[in-house]
Amino acid sequence: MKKKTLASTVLSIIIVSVVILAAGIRCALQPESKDFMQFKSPVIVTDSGVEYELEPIHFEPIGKKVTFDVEIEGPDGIDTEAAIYIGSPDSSSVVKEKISGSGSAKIQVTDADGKDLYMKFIPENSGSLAPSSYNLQFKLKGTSDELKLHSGPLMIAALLLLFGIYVIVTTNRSESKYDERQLAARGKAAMNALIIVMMCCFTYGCLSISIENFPISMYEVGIGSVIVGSTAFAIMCDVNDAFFGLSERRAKFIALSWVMGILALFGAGMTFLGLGRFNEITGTGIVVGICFLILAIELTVKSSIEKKEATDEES
Amino acid sequence: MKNLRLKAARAALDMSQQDLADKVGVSRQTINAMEKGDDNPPLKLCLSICRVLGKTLDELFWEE
Repeated sequence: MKKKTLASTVLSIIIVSVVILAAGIRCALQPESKDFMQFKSPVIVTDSGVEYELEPIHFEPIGKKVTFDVEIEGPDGIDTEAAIYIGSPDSSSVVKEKISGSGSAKIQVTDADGKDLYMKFIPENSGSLAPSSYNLQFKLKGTSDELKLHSGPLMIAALLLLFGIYVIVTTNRSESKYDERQLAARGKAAMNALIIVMMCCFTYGCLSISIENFPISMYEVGIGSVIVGSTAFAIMCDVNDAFFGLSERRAKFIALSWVMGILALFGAGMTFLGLGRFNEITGTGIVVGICFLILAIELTVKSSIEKKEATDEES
Repeated sequence: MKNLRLKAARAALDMSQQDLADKVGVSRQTINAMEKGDDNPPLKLCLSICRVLGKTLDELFWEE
């Protein structure tokens, strides 16, 4: 094995090992898992009572001892009862807590025992509110005492990491070179891509400060801006014929981009088909899918233009 | 400004842009950019092209 390939392989293994080790240490030190949810719901106060459409919220098994931090923002005069059910929302509630107007409560379930949990909210008019339509804003956070290990996604992640190492090793083995013009173009594209990443983070910072309860989290922005920046880098390089090296084949990379884009959008789209819950991963998945599809389209179009230019030039 | 002398010298040897690019170790697009006059090629590349096409620097790259 050549020195360069060996060095790349060793470096890849070291990076992957460090990432896995860091994740493992973090999990060991902080065994609690957290979930965060925020939503709004209108309630209509009538003479006969309160009308609302609040479906029970389902939580997958997250340990034996679970604590929910519930925050409700609403008008004074609406008392909201938060109740927890184990196994089914039609069973008897195991714990209830009443929150008047705007307030918060900590609801603890000590014998969840790895079963599904359901949370119901039942608003009531304490008598002081006039009949009208009001809005309730809910914020939920859950912590548990058990780290849930899902073997399916872990295996997929391990396979992807191995595939990534394989791609790095084989790419370095082929020794694709870039000429000076390409290197200059790549350098410029890298600088522009970095500026794009910085602008994404800066824009997020401004929006999150000026808009209360801004719905996009730092996690989504972090992942999203890196994906957008990487895509911008790839597109700017390819437009200047500097993405692929002198002896590199475009076809497999183009195919990979199409596959990644479609899979990512399909995975995120499953939520809209009712097969999952919309969360931060869905939002990031949509960004990843769109970026990869844009890249795939650009690579495909450029490849066609390249072939046409080469044919025209020979004729 | 287009470099028609380069294009002509290449065509005289019945060489495609890809053939010339392979011989001098650059991409086809770099040769294309040079012929269009869009590029600012390094001296080393110019000398390689001259060697392959059997011409001098003046004959291919001197700006009149």
